[in-house]
Amino acid sequence: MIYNQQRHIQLLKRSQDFKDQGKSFYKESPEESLQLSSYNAAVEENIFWQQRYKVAELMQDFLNRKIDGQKFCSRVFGLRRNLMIASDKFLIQLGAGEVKDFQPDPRSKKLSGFLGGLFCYCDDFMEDYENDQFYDAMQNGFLNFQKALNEE
Amino acid sequence: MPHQEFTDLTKEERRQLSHHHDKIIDVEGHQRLRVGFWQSRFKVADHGAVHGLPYSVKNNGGTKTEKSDDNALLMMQSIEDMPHRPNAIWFDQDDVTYQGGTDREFPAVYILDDDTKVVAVFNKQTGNFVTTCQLIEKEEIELKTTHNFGGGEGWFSGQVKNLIPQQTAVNTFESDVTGITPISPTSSFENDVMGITPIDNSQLDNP
Repeated sequence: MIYNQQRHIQLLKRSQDFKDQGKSFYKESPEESLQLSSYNAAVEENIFWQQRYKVAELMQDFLNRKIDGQKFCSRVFGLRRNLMIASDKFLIQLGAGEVKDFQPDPRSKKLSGFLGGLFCYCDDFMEDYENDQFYDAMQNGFLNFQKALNEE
Repeated sequence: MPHQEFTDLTKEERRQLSHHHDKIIDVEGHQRLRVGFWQSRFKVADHGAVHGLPYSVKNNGGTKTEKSDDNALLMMQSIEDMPHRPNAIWFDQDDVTYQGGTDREFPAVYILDDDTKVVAVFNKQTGNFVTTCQLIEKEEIELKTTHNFGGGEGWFSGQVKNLIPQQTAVNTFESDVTGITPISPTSSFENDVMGITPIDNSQLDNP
């Protein structure tokens, strides 16, 4: 996907128009809705990319047993919520024409899907974080995360 | 249920036991689903907020809803109402899965509120409620186009053998055990001002 800021703004307005009518953009115009989601996802991934060091440190803290699984996953949930808030705020500014010449960092695609997977593992192993399967998965995830960063 | 039989159950199995507060979602043309009380009570602390329940915000940005019977019931009511919301979407085709591509994959049924992006996940085989959350954009695309989400696109799958983390010093896990260039927190604008610990830029930010 090649990011197009003007098209993104246009789709945000289209989506809002449907919302104002109480209609689902996805149901009314699935292709455009998915295109909007792709642009929105690029924004989310760009924000996540900016936080990659924080994520790496968090994972290290867990893998090195500095924090337990409960604390680790609590921070993952917080990270995800903060990302959603930051993304929503950015999209409001974008729609209002307050953002000039935005272009997501192309490297941000490297970590696509990581946060979603991390969240689901934490949710799935809730109150069972001492399970070796959880630790192994985080270990594997962190190695892949590091590899992605080192490929830069 | 006999005591011995109960004690032999795993925690996960105990949460699926029936309760007189369980709610049934029975919508024509769709699979009959059960929103179990015990599983809802288990999930309400971390996921109650997306269903409009009162919550506090933790220092790390996460939310916490009081884990109580009343809140569990309120979340169950919200989930039971989801199919009746104006822009609810069912995903209950044969190919629908949760955590597809991992060893935790199972056939699933989803009810998505397309206005709020809140989704409820059910196990297709049992019809039981599993979890709920608000989707990020990437997950929304994945669900709508592949009928799956939560697999992490392979980031976490597979087993990494014989890797024992060192606990004596920062960054030993990567360098000592895996040979991967470690992350080296240093003082910087990102660290001091943004609260983000940077990776050694000489390793990571070169084009």
